[in-house]
Formats: sequence, C-alpha cells, structure tokens
Amino acid sequence: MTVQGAPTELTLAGLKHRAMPLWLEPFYILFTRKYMAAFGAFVIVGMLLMAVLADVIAPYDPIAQDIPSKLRPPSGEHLLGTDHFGRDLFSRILYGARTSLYVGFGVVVLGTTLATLLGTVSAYVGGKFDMTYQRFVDAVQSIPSLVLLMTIVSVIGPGLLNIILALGLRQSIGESRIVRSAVLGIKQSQYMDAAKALGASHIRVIVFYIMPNIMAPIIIIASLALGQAILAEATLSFLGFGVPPPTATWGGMLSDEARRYMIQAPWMAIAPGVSLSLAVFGINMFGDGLRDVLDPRMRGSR
Amino acid sequence: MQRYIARRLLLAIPTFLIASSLVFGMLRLMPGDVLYAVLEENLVNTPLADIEKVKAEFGLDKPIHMQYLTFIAGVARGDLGKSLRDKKPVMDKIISRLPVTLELALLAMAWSLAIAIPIGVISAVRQDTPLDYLFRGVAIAGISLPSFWLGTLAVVLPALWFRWIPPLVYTPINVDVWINLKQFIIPSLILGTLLAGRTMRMTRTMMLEVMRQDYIRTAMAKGLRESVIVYRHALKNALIPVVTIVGLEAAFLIGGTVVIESIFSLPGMGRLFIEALTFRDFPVIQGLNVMIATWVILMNLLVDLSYSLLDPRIKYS
Repeated sequence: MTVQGAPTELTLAGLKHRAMPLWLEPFYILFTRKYMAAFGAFVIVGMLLMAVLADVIAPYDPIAQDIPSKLRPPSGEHLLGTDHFGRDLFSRILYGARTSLYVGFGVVVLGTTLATLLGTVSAYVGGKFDMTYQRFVDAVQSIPSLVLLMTIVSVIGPGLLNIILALGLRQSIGESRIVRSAVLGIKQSQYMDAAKALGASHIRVIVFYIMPNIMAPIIIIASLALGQAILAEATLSFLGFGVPPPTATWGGMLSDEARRYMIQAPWMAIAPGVSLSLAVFGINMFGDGLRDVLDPRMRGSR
Repeated sequence: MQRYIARRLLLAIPTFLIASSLVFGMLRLMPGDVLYAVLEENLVNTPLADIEKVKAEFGLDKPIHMQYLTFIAGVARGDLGKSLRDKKPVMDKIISRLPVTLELALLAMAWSLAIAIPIGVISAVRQDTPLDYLFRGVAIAGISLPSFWLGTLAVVLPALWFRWIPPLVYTPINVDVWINLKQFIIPSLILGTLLAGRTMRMTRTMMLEVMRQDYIRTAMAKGLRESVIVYRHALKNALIPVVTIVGLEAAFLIGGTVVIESIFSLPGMGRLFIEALTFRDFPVIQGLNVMIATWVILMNLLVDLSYSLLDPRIKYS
C-alpha cells in the first residue's frame, strides 16, 4: 500500500534505499553499504565480548605470577605464551580489553558530556564569556595532548579513575569547540527565533531545540573519541604514566620492562600490539562510516 | 592587513598567558616535596637552615604570587629558571636537546608530506575505486597504529632476524652524517607514516571539494588533460588547508617524539620531558611546557597569516 506522495525510495548520504523509520536509516546504511564500518562494528562487539566474558574464558589469573614458567612460547598450555613473570599472556590480553574499554567508555561519557555542556553554554551565552572561553580552549590545545596528560598524571597520580579523569578533561576541551560551532550554526535558524517569540525559557530552548539538532556531531565526536582514548591510555601506560602494574593493560604489556625480554620472547610484543591496533582500527572505521552516514558535511574521507 | 596581523598577535598573547598560568598552576599542585628532587634522600637529615637556603636559591620561599610573577617575567626574558637536579639553566638544557628533536621532526614531516600528498591526490582523483579504498584503509591504519608498538617492533624484529640494531649513541649530523642518518631513519619513518595518515585524509577531502568546483568543470570542458587540471588548477587550491595541517602536525609531532625518543634512546626534548617528570624537576617541566605552547601558538599564528597570503579572497577585517 503506497501512501500518496510518500517516498518509496530515500537517499541518505547519497545512497539509495527503501523507506523506513527515521532512526533506523543510519543503521541500515551502515550495515548494508558501508562494509568497512560494519567490520569496525564487529571489532567493537568482539572487544566487548572479550571484556565481558574474560572471567569465563581466561584460563589463568592475569596477575598471577609463575616464575618457573616464565618466557614460554605459545603452546597448548599457554595459548599466547608467558611473560617475564610467568603470567599467561592470553589471559592478560582478555583482561586488557576490559581496562581499555573501561577507560575508553569512561572517557567518552565524561568527555562528551562535559564538552556538550561547555560548548553549548559557551555558544548560547556568547559575548565576552564565549571569547574568554575560546582563548582558554586555545591555550589548553597549545599544549600537546601527551605532554599535558603526563603532567596531569604526575600531579594527580596514576590509577584507572585518574586516567579517565585526565583523558576526559583533555578531550572535552577539544570537543567543546566542535559542539560550540554546531550550536552557533543552530542559533541562527528561524525556529530558534520562533521559540524565543513563544517565550520559551533558556533551559527549554537548550533541551528541546538545540540538543536534538546537535546529536549528529556529538555522536560522531564520541565515536572518534573512543579510539583516541584507548590509544592515549595505551601510550600513557607504555610510558609508565598510565594504569599501574600489575593490572593487565595492552599498553603496559609493551612497556619498557617488558621490552627488555622481547628479543628472547618476541611473542610478548605481538599480541598486545595486534589487539590494540585492531581495536582502534575497527573503532575508527566505524566512526568514519558513522560520519559519512550521519553528516555528509563533515566529510573526512568522503 | 596590518590590523589583522596586529589583532592576531594581540589574541595570541592572552592565549600564551593562560597556557603558562595553567602549567604553572598545575605543577604547584604536584604532591611530594619538590625539594626531594634536589636533596634526594638527605631531605630528612638536612638541617632546617640548609633547606631554607636551598629554597631561597630556587625562589621557592617567596609567596606564590611572587613566584608566578617571577616566572612570567622570566619567560618574557627567555629565562626559564634553573633545573632542580643539576642547577643548569632550563633554557640551556632545552636548547641542547633541540637539534635531536628538530631533526627527528623535520625528517618525519618531510616523509609524511612526501607520501601523504600524492596518495591523497590519487585517492581523490580516483575516488571510490579499489585503490581509493585501499589508500583510505591505510590512512586509517596510520592513525590507529600505536607508535610505540611500531617502534618496538622496528627495534626488536631487525635484532631478531638480522642481528642488527641502530646505533645507540647519539651522533650529531655534523660529526658523522651516515651514522646519524642510520640512527634517525627508522624513527622518522615511523613517526612520518603515522603522521601521514592524517594529512592524507585532509588532502583527499580538500581535493574532492576543489574538484567539484565550477572552474574545474570549465577546465574539463575546455578539454585540458587530466594531469594539467589536477596539478595546475586543483592542487594549488586544495593545498591551502594543507598548510593548516602542517601547522597542526607540528603540535602533534611533539607528542610523538616523546614516545619515539624513548624507544630509540635519542636524547631529545621528549626524553628530557620524561626524565624531568620522573624526577619531579618542575622548572624543567614548566619550561618545556611553556616552550612547546609558545611554539604551537606561533605556528598557528603563522598558518593564519599565510592563509591571507595564499588566498587573496580571504579578507580579515
């Protein structure tokens, strides 16, 4: 049954497809047309499964040392071998996924929420406040991310929560800029004028008029931030400024003390690196596909 | 034009001040007595009078706002204080490490541009072909791969397979060019490849935008060869934002050098930073942060200014 005038064929992101509920469109395109993004989604799901089922699948305790079995190559007993403390690498990889995901999602939630708040308020209020805030953002962004993060961690100390805090703060400052420009774009539109003419309060305007329209950039930023956060946590752990040992974290597994043994035990170098690369690669692929579909104006690789 | 330059400069100053203040403020919050860095284990045994002397030497006995003013005044003069560890002026320490980081950064940037721009152009011109997808995949890989992993593999694998390690003692370029290059080639290739991913995507996006323009269609209608269109008309205009990228890369590079210098044992600014953090040598940490922030702000300024030069249509009031 065709309704008069209703489209039977739609075009989103330049790709033709059948009519469907509005919220379903991006997902449909993502999984039927954008194969690279679908691959990314599988990677993310795989990581989630690893992290959630770690307790069940992992054959050994990731921090249990077993010095007599140290530096064993991959075998039936230890699927990926053991490290210099005799810890099973396979288990450590599985639990490492947990750490990465904790940090990743923690940072994304904290960072994106904060960024949305700051960016929206800054753009909405405008004027001197906005200008001052912009200078502040410039200043924070002048300090390279890694340098700033390492300094912050030196001040507040290492640890999972502190890392999430530090990374979240840094990312939120950068992201708030994007949110701000999105809000500025909306401020000009006519339905904003209409809302004000109707006497809508500020909160109402922000929640019901601005927020729904900036969801697309926010989702895109969030998806890209996930990959960045995981990579940043790994780099910090590698340098010794991240989640402290003996917690299993992919970056930490490649750190200085482990590197000393890598010539004897090259398998120690491969698994964490491959996991990290695959994870971040998949997340970035997914984010890219999402961006292509949700906001053709933000063409990064379109 | 003059007014624009003046305005941009004026805007850069508060940014710089805020950045310096942030760094200053953060470091004062550092736990653990900083004097530990100077006196080390002797902190407990040293009589109070001596501790006071040390404090006075580094200006740590003055109230916090005085310390801040001294710091800012010093920055304006180029005096970043003295290192807590060996009492050498911070500025000198930084400058002595500069050549290493500079060489690494320049080589990395050169390599990155050399591969990213051609690949970006080809990817754009042959959009949506398998080649394009391949290049895009490689570019995303470039920004996803952890630099420290690649660096580690680059050290471990040759050692394992060929029994070869890069020279470990830093040799400046004026002492022996070949050994120097042997030392720098792998790190800069790695850094450059990671950088290239970013640049390549930007180049591709800008080329795509430019190619849709009307003047390109005119050129094609005129029957010009594709190579002429791409190089003479499209590329020049697409390169303008790439100038921004190069400026931004400068900021990103500095973070990258920290990791790479650590893996390849290169005595550059990145290594200095890690050492300073480990030893709580906060004048050095402060000084480095300030210098880097200055550099980035300067680069942004230059990029903004070059915009107006490259594109005469851009008129800033």
